[in-house]
Amino acid sequence: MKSLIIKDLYKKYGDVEVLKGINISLQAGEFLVLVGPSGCGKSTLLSTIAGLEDIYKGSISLGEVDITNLSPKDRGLAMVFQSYALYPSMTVRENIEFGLKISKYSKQEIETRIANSASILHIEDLLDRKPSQLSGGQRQRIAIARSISREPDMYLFDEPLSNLDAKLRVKMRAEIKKLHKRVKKTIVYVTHDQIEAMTLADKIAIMNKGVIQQFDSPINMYENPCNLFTAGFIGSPSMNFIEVVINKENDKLFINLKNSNGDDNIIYVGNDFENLDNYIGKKVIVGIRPEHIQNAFRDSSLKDKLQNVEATIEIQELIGSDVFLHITLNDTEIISRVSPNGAKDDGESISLHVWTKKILFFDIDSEQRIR
Amino acid sequence: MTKTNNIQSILSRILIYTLLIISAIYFLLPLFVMIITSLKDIDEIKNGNLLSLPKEITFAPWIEAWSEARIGSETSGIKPFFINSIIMTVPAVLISSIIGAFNGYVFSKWRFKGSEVFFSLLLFGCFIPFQVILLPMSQTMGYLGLSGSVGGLIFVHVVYGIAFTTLFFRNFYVSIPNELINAARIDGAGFFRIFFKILLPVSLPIFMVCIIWQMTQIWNEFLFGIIFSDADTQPVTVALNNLVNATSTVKKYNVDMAATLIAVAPTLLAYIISGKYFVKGLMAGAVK
Repeated sequence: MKSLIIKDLYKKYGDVEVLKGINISLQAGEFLVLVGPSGCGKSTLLSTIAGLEDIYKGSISLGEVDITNLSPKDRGLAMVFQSYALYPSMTVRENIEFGLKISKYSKQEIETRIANSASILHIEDLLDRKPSQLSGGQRQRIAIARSISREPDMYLFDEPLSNLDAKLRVKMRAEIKKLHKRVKKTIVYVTHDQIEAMTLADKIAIMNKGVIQQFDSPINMYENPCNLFTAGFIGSPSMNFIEVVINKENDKLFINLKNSNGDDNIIYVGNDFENLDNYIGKKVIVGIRPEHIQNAFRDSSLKDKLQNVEATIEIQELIGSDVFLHITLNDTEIISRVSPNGAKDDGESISLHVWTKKILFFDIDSEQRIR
Repeated sequence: MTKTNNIQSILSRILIYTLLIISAIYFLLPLFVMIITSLKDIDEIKNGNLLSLPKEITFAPWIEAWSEARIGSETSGIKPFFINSIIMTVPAVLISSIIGAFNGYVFSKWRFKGSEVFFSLLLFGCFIPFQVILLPMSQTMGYLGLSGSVGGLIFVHVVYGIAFTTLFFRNFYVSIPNELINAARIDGAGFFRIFFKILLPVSLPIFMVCIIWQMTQIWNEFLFGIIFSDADTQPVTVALNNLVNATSTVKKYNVDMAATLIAVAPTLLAYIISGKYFVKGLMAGAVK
């Protein structure tokens, strides 16, 4: 088990900076997920950790060792790729052997490692097949087995599940989690899927435009996003953003969420904010997660923390466990996640509750959280 | 509705097949005439019909063309020149394909600063007409001591071939995911091991394309063959020309036809044996 520390990492392609000062400190055995939209630099960051791409400046160390200038094979890591990257002309066994033979392990050692990794991923029956004779899920298992056989200090995963169908993806996701529990090694995992990030990670780093927006635990990422980007990126359906004006009356801050009929919904926002006073009379963006504006909070102790919002249902989407209502507040269409019980028809008005404490405020220009 | 559709589709089928059959006849008729002419004796050719089948099949013209016909000052047939062509073509094809594979590997997987410019310049070689380089090439071959030898012909064909083979291999390797190379690098494989263990084993289709292409080009090539060779190192194309264009003797059409068929046989065979690889290999990289 080794910790991963990245300091002030910059990467340029020509004059274009694709990584702009990345700092990561990951404890030994932790599972880090790099997540972000395509082109945000997450895969590039992974490649620089692997040593497949040169960096402009900065340093990377694994455990006590500075690996910034080491060749990929000397960094003590293994990587699993999106396209599996199995050598097409070799059998599964030869695929696993390839790196071990280069590292000049004894025949016996190689045999043991193949048997070991094959049994962990239940691929003993596939060892003599060619990659072209395997399904996508099987190929991914082989790729993971190959990386295990290297017995690395750290695993790198580059969107390993995105070529699999939805059902298999959920299954493999759980297997990767189990694998992490079993090998207890440090893992860096790249994905664009925020659900993968939430379910797998000990730490999430959300990236955008070559910068880490937030580096945090999944639960903190969800409850305490630091800016508009991370707030909108994590969660499905994503957080609702509504422009409002902060008002103050009788020493109480409030906002108004007008529904589509033009009726006022006054919401008092409480006094636990340090800086919200500075925004009185100004426009800000409020963020409300779909499940925090609904009709039936299960927890009855919340009762006195809820405030009413009257709205008109425009359309509704039943997904089974919940219904997503599309409603309009302050001319913005938002989604409310309600229970399917007591369903109403489209066009009817409905009385919803907002969990006041969960409302987040963001500066409209800097897009930073107002605390 | 369905009935008219049916009739329409039958009619278009008939039209397509008619066209195909006509084209096939058009292209195969010369070959047919050549084969039957080469199997007739000379009297039958003079008195008979061009398209009629031989009354009596004779292989004498083939034997004469192969080992007895007068070419230049010798009565050796085209056999020694056929052998010259083999000695020239086999190494030229193999060397240019191997260099092309290596170049293609570098240009697709180990790009360096300016490699695209380099590649474009190399491609320029595909468009240089043969005539342009005759003088500089003969001078170069003089310096290298290769004038008039089979080695010299191999050299010029390798140089000309590299542009095409590099293009073929580069386009083929571009379609192979870079992740494969990265995986091998993490496994500790170096530049040469990746080439020999990962890429070469999957290169059979594109090797076939290169071999067929280069073999056809080099075997059928005439201009370099006539200019850069001596009397005893001429390739079969030049010998065939000398045989057919000889003015001193009586025209023996059957021997000419037999000699021509012998001269084109290797390229024809190459197409028949490996044609399916050719189509596959040319398509690779074009689709994705």
